[in-house]
Amino acid sequence: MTILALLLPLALFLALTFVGAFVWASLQGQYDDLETPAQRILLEEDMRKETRS
Amino acid sequence: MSTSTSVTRENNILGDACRLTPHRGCLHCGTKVLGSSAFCCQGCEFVFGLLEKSGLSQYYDLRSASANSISFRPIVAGSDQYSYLDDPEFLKEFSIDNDYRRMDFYLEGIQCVACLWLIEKLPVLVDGVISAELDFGRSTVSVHMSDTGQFSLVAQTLDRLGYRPHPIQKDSDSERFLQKENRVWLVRMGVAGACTGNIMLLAVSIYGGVQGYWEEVFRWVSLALFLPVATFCAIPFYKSALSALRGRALSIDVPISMAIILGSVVSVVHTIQGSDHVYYDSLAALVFLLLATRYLLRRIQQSAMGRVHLLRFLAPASARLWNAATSSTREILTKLLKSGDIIAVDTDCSVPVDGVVVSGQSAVNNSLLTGESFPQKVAMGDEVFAGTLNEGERILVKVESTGINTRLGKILDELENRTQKKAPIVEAADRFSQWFLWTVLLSATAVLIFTPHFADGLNRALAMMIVTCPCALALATPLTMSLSLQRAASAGILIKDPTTIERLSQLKSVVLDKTGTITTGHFEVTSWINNSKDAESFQFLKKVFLGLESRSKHPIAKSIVRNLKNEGIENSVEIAEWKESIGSGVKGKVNGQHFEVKAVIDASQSGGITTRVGLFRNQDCLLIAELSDKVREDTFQTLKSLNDLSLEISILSGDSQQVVDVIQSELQPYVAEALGSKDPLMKKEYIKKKHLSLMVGDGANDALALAVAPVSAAVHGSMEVSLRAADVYLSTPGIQPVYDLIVLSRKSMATIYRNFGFSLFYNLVGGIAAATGHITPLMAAVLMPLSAFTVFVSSLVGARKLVRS
Repeated sequence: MTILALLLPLALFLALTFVGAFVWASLQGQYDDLETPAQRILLEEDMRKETRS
Repeated sequence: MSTSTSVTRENNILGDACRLTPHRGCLHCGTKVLGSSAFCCQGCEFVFGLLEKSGLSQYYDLRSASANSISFRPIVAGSDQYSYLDDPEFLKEFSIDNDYRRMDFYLEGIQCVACLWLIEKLPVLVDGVISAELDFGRSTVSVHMSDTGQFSLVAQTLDRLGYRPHPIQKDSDSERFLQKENRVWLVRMGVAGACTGNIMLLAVSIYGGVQGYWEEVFRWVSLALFLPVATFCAIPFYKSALSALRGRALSIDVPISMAIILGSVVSVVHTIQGSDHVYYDSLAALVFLLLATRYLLRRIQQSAMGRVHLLRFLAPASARLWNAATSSTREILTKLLKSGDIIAVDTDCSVPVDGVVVSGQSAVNNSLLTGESFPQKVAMGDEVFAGTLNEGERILVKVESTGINTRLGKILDELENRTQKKAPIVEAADRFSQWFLWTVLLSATAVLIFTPHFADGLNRALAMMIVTCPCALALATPLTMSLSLQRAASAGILIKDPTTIERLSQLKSVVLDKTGTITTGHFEVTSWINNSKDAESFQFLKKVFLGLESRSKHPIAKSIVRNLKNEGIENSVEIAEWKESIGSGVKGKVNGQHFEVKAVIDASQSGGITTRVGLFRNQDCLLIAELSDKVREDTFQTLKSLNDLSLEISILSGDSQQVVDVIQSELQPYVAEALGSKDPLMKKEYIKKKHLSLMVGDGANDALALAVAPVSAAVHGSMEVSLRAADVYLSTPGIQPVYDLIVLSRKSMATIYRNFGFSLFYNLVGGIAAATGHITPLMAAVLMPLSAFTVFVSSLVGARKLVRS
């Protein structure tokens, strides 16, 4: 049972890290628009360079 | 009137034409093209060429890959130059940042991933654009421009591509506030979720039988994890409960807050005392679930409202200022016009101001203001009003008033005031919860007082509070509502406010506007009457008709031309000596014979619903086109369905009683009452007297009635005006959505009432068991999520039924 002394704080630390990451991402506005980026990532990126040259 | 030898319905002719000419799709929009052209119109040809030239024709591959059910329309590019976008005064108000290089546009016509791709390629298409980012959900694009670029070019390009741009005013503080709130709400939900998960892990160990030192530690850790949930995450409930109490009312959040606070206090005391009666897990789960359902409701409501909201920030329209010295025009914001200025109003443009015609003759469609479907002739000295449509030729108008001083502006202004004063309706959930909450609070107090031992009494009261926690109300009602809103939105029905659903389910009658609601609002050829005595070909006469009419700008002529072209008639007849005389018709020579097109005056028909235009040769009437504002195809079936729901249907119109009577007889036996010649005020008075009625209408002439009606729906084509007044916006034409909407609302309410029934039964049994000491707070805490789960499932099943319908 003494291993809990290590595991419990470790688990809590891990949870805290992820909550922190989530809070940061939310406040940055990463969850504001869930639709467009999901579509955008499917599109090719090379078009712009080709036509510029 | 001479006897008609043959009457042919439009449909038959259309069928013939289809068989004769093979159809091919326009290369851009896929619309059927007649003849050898690859495009249906110049707009489409331009877009195709532009994309080809810029190396962006991948657009078509993307589109065909992503769009299955989406129909594309031919490009109707406006003639606007958007030069006002580069005006420093305009930039000051509309650009997002301070150096005037960023602007947001709302775009019409965003449909699929190909649109996204194309619009984000703006830097390739327009010089000086650094980046363009589209927000799919809101249909807005944010354009970042280098110092040398011009926003007018961006707007022109977007317009040519078929996405009509509307600049969005930067001063949208409420929008930004909303965004911030959504983010914080999401953080609350995330924190509550994470803490709940961890508390539950620890709780499992405790229930599993951890003893001694570690049990104590686990409880303290749970307390630590619970603190942010009870404070930061639950703040919205406390706030709402407080404001309800301040208003001397009970809301659903009052017992929720009480349960959270009471449960927390008892748990903390027990933790300090080392007792095992702690409820961190169930309280945290309660907070998390409540936050999650409410967040869902918020987002769905906001996405439905998004487009409506955006309209408020749209830029006012532009006008063309007339320069008499050079006989040219220059674009200017309507807002900057002064009375006395002269502006030009072109064909098919709406009049931006109230004013007096100083030059030119035309026909103006006043249907937005008066509901009259027939365009009115205007000439020098006549008044024209903002919001009306110029269907004839260019006129010059001297500005008298602009903005809120116009007739339209005043109506809108009055509307905004009225909408706010609309009587608040008490929701079923609210009524039920008021009654329910008092019962729970009073019985809990009674249990606390009348139980002999205080500690025992506290336990029983707490068990009761937890077991009767009104989950059905707090979770299931918003869940059902949000699912209904979502379902409606996916069918193109935007509902402003969830309470509308309840009101819709109680309807007794439906009041419909005529023009544009049950009819199409446009004059269409309904039938042809062939009068020629010799065996002259029907097709030839139509060609002559088309040849003569196609050069005229008269609205009726345009409508005839459109109909003939749809039938596949080609404009191939040579016309000599073509001449139009305003007010009487057009003349011309074909193969040396004099032809004339003019209105057929017939005493028996005057004031009726149809207009007749005839083709004459030497005073002989050869062919007559009958035109009328047709009843929409789906109207009859929808009225029948509405009648089957035992709703009384009546028609209100600004048109004459005679016209309305014809419509009523056409729609027998479903229309109970049809009243004509109603001006906006009379409509308002009528609807005020109607109990539990739904008003369906469009345009500013209905807006007053829409605002006072118990429930109101605005139909397609009048978004700007009617949405301010109406509760529901139907973005697809016709009244079929009205039926869907009513069925949807009735089903949703049935689901909600079923949930009430269940929770009432559950709470009665649980409450009595708790009061008599058969349930400990711990058992109550296990039962609570169980009941919540049942109601949850019941809502989802109800929603599935909705989808199937």
